[in-house]
Amino acid sequence: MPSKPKSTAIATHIDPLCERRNAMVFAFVACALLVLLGSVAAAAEPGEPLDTSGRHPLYHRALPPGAIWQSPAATTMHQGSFQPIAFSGPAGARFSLPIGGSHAEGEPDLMAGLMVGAVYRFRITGIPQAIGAELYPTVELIGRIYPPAGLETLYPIPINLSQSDLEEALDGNLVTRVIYLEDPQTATPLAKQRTDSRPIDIPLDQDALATADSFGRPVAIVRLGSKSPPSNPALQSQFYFGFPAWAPIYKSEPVTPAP
Amino acid sequence: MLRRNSSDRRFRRHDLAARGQRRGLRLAGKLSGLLTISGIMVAAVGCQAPGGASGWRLPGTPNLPGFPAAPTPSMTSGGNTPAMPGARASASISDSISDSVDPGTITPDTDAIAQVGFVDRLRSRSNCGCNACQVGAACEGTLAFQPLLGRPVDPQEFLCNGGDAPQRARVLRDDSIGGLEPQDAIVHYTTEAGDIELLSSNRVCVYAPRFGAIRQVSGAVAGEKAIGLAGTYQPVGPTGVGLSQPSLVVEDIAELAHADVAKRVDAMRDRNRGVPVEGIVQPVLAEDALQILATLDLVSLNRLDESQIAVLRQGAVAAQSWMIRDAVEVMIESVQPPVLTRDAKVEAFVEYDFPDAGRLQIVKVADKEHAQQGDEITFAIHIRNVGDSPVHHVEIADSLVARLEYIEDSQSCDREASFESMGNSAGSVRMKWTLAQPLAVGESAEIEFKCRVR
Repeated sequence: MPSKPKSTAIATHIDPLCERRNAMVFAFVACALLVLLGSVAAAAEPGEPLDTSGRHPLYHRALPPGAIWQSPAATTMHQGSFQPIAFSGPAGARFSLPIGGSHAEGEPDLMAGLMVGAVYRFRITGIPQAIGAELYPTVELIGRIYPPAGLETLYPIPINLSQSDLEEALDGNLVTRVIYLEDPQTATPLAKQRTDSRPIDIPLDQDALATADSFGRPVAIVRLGSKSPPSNPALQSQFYFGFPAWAPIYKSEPVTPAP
Repeated sequence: MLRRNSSDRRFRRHDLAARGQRRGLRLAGKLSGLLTISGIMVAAVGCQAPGGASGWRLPGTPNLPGFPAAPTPSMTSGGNTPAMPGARASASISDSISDSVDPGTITPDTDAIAQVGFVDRLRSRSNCGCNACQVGAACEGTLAFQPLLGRPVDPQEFLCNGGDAPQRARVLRDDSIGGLEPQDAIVHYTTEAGDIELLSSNRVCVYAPRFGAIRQVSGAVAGEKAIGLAGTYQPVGPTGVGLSQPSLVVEDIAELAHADVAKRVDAMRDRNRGVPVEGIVQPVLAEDALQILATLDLVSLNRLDESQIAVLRQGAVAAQSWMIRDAVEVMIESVQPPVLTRDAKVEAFVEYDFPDAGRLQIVKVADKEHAQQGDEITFAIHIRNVGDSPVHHVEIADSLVARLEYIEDSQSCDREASFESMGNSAGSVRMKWTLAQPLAVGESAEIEFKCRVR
């Protein structure tokens, strides 16, 4: 019943050396093509999401100011249109933007139109419980809002800094605030005023941009840490990020009186 | 096999030089072809890589429905698109204009949304062709000065209430309403025929953006414990970080005072080479008689017992005699086959005109088109019987979104109605009005209530 397996070899009359050489070349070509095709398939696979793992897929907090808008993914920068910004802080704090290499008198409720994509450095004086101290934070707009026509200054992007922000910065820490437009579908049911400065504090191992992106649409990044401008005049332009243009808003719309 | 090996050796001995030349020429030809193919493939990889990153969104770009799935420049607003008069996006938007809104004030010219993000870039990249994978100046120039057509709209800046999206609201057995989610507003009623109908209102949107902030405090010293650099994460963007950017550090650089550097072996290279093996001819064809039995699950030798002969015979007979007519048949009694009648034509046409059932119309409006935080908004819900018969048990339910706070005792109804309110899942209020009397044909009811924007 069990039969012995038979094996036969079929040998054709081909030049053996030529055959082996061709086989080697074709094997090499096939391997190279396989590798290339594999890389093509990996690069063009649309169903594979980028590995975020708690980070934003493109951006990181270690990026220096202005780096986000240097990315080719960020385009259609609304240059030429100014997005109104409203600063507010603890009682006594005054804000001012640079004009011609120096700062004007600070205002407690400064409003200005800033360009999306540019980095601005402003000055905070009159910090409570820190007489004579100054802070030079940066603000970077990474998005704008789209109010109905005529309501632009009534609905600015608020940059509300708290006393603890200023104290942390004066202590030598870097305070990063990512301001986002809240998604009304997932908004917290807590009453907030426009100048409310309560933030969501996150630990160091989280990314502020990614966290803000999960709550809504990030529109601005504020970094507090610099306490004094450089004394060397040659570094002034670099410190102020080239003095980008901004539009003063002299008369802000009054906030609707509380009921 | 032996013959071929000896042939190889003879060939090598006699024609080594000529073979080297031919091999060089042929290899050069193959390699040049390979390089050409490789170039084409690398170019293809380079062009496809930017498009492969889908499913993410740039910070600063509006979170629009369908944005990651179909990044087309001609995107129209949809889903939660706010009710902007003239923003022709969907039927639910066009009818959601509050009465107090002046269409001339905030009407956008077009409904095209100018994306801040990479949408336009993708289009321009495809227009520029494959050579423009590295963004050139020409592409940048056309992008930077692209005219902004119309006013874009971000739905996240609007506070919308009303409607029933997704459509899950329904009347349960105990006459309660299920599936009413925050921001839904519906009415349900019973017609003369006893049918329970459910109708959702339009959506009314008020411009009221609210901002939040994420704060992260980082420093060199935290909790009296030095935080060292464990690792660096360098995100690889499409072109990386522009090095021409000014950095935060403009002070003098503090030099490293002391550094301990441990040296260790970087790598070890093994120089053992493999032993070449030549002249091994693999069998091209192998035949095996056992392959015939390969499809059987079990092949074994057994002794045939006397008692198994009957079973074997039964199986053999069954294999011969079981045919299709022995299969299981199903017969359904008292079912007649359908009869196909051809050439039938209509001989008479009688139209019965039944009176239409009662039908309600529900419209929700707001008295403001934009509101600051803390402002009060008055909402009104109009209900009107536009059918041909009265409706009974009219119940209006409205569930508010999280950012709308119902002001206590601010509701009113111009007809006799009972009012209930309870909390909803969004942390706001769900209200319900039940009309005490049926709503006759042409009659209407109006409900007003006030909310404060959180």
